[in-house]
Amino acid sequence: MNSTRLSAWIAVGGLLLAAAPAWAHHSFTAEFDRNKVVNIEGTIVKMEWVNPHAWIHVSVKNPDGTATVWMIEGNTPNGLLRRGFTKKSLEPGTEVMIKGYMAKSGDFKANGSSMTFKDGRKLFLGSSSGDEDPTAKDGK
Amino acid sequence: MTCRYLAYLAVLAALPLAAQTPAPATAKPKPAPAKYTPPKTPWGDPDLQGNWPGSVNIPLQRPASMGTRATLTEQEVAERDAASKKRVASGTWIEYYPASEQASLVVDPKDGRLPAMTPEADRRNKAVRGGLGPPTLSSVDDRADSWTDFDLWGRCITKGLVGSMLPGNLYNKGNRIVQSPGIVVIQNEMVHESRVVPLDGRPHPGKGVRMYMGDGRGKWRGNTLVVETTNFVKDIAMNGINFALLTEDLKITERFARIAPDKLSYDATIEDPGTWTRPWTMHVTYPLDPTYELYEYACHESNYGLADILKGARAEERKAAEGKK
Repeated sequence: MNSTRLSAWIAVGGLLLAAAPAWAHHSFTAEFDRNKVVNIEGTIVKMEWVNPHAWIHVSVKNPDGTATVWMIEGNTPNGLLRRGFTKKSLEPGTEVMIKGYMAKSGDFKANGSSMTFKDGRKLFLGSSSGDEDPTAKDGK
Repeated sequence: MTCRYLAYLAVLAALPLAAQTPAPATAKPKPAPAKYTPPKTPWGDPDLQGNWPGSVNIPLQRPASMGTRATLTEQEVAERDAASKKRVASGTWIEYYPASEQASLVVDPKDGRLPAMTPEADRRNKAVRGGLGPPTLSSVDDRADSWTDFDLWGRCITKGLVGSMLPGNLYNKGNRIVQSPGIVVIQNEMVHESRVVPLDGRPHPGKGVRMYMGDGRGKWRGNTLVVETTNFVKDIAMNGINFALLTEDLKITERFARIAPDKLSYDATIEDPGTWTRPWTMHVTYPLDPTYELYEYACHESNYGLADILKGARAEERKAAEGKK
């Protein structure tokens, strides 16, 4: 990834963003960088309804006219369905704004926490950024 | 399409952890439940069939300060419930489960805490991964060199037994029981497990046959289904319970009983003399929920997170190496 381009989109926070360890099915902190918050505006390419986490592909236009497809990690498909998120919730071509945390790998991937449509409606995405497994913690 | 990339500094407040309050007041005594006789299947077995999701919020262990008090006060239940609602409302992807007055899943020992590990088990576990210990959900924060640094759940393989039966653990807590003459099938939504338990008295297979979920054999004791499971794979951890590596002698005895039309009592006694200094028992009462849908959770094929974590660790190594130059 071109780090110069990246720096135009993402600010690196120097603050400690959370004190508690964050666990979901995976370690959030091992996969994503809490200090790199990304706000993405683009159009839906497709949604992968796959376990353990759904992935939303969003095409984002670059200043030079090219496009970059970001992959946004969402909740588990079962969890999304139970929250009212259906296959029709995100049709290809829909314009969205997504807030998330960028992957440590440097790939165009992020953990999504919220999604807003152009008309202001919000759609729950879920995020592992604050998760903590109390039973696992107790059992350690 | 809007073509802007916006950058922000974000400050997130650390989630407050639920305060574990000491026990100020005694819980109300409960009236003894009336004797309930469950319905029978057409072939005459007690009918346990249905969806019994673990939709209840009970921690595995209780705070040591509670001693042997096994139930919470109304105020403590309200506090536990409020903490859970707050976490769900914060936008994270856990599901909400109402708090129970039951102080802990562990009911034996009486203090609601796991018994001590044997000194040998302690040594065995500390030696794993060059002293880092067995993989846990968060162990990849310390080291992500290979897939062996991920626990079995992180690898989408299993939560094991009794990890798959734990209530209130994040999401996908569906359990379903299906019966046919001579067979009971116990399904767990997380992680896509179906245990087929024969009831005909056949013995366990030989010691050479080992499985992540073990080999279960069932029998009826009155209206209670008793399932004894052995033949576990050696050196697996019990997800959600303990990340210690367990021995080949692990034996789990479960008891399922329908104690009301909409309640299933579940107990599991765990024995592994090479790991714990004594057996221990957990208990939970599952609610019947015919509306609960068990969705597929085939998790391994698209477990992108595993590759992303390994790739992220390599990227950080490169960054560190460049910094040293």
